[in-house]
Amino acid sequence: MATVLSGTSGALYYKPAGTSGTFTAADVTNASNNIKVGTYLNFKVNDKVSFGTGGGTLPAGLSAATDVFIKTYAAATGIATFSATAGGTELALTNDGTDGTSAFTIDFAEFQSVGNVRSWSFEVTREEIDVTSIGQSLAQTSPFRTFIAGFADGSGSAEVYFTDDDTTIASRLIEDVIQREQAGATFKLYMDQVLSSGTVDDTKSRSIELKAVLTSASYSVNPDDAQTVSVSFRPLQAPTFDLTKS
Amino acid sequence: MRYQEVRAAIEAPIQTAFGALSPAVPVFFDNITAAPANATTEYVKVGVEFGLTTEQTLTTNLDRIRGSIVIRVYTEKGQGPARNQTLINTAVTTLTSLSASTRQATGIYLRPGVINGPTLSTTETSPHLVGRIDTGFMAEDAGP
Repeated sequence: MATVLSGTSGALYYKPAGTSGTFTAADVTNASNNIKVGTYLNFKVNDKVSFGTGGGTLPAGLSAATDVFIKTYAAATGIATFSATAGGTELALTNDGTDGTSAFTIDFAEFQSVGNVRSWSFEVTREEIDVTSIGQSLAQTSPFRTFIAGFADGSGSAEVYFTDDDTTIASRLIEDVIQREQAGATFKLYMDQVLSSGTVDDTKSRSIELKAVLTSASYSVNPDDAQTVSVSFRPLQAPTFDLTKS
Repeated sequence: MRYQEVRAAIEAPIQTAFGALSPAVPVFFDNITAAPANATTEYVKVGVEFGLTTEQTLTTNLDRIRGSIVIRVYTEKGQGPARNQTLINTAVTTLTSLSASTRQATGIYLRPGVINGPTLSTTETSPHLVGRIDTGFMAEDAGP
């Protein structure tokens, strides 16, 4: 007999908004071990980031295969330094790298579980296109319209508890609604989260993954209930639906 | 989550308020066996119950303490409600002052809710008029 999943089988994982940027070799100052990755992004100290080569060669000290951590980031200048470990020493960049066919990329490396999420919802809708033929012969019964399915769209929301800890990824999710540069905001909405050896096993889990734009935050405060913020979002492009366990 | 500190945040000001009356009125809290079952003197009993103390998220639980406070004031039966209500007023004033408490960076932040009562009652077997008020409360523990 099948088992109906409870809500606690689900989870919401998130990559923050403003954590995706590009740069070229000209943006690298290896003498200072820094890279101008873009102004007014949303990198925070100890964010784990990954790099893409864009077909070129990354500055020596960085590798597409090895994630590193943000050591410093100045939003106004867009200049970042890095460390091999969270809170570690500054990573040395010994050259500026070589540009490829496209720019180098920097992205938030891993999804983080948003622990303060009470619930999430995601709705997929389809347009209906009316293709009814006119001029049909009249009969006893009324003619029916004819439709075909059109484009798909989606929208979602998450209800997040507002806690006294502003260092959580949940606080970042809430703040990201007013983050101007939202590139990088990505949700992974688990209906069925299965762990193997302490980590999420995506081959056995079922989820919806989507790059998103955060469209609203609704704050709710009253003396009777826990404080919550309802964050709404919509996909930037077609989500990835993984609705099977294989 | 420090239940005992939450309880103290409720009981201490009530103890202080009734202790400051002249004459002082004894206050008995939960599990205090010295409460006089058939005493002819005035006294106050305070009960604190914890209810829901967490909020559930998809992946964990968060602290959020809620509970209820019941204060019963025992005064002499057959003398009208005036004395009982005078003492009840001390309890209400104390709870109201707790309602005006503000959240600090550390410690317990406690706020009573809407106060229900007072209701007055007597029984055949007791020499007391019993005045009762009750309220819910919420508490946050910001740590020591």
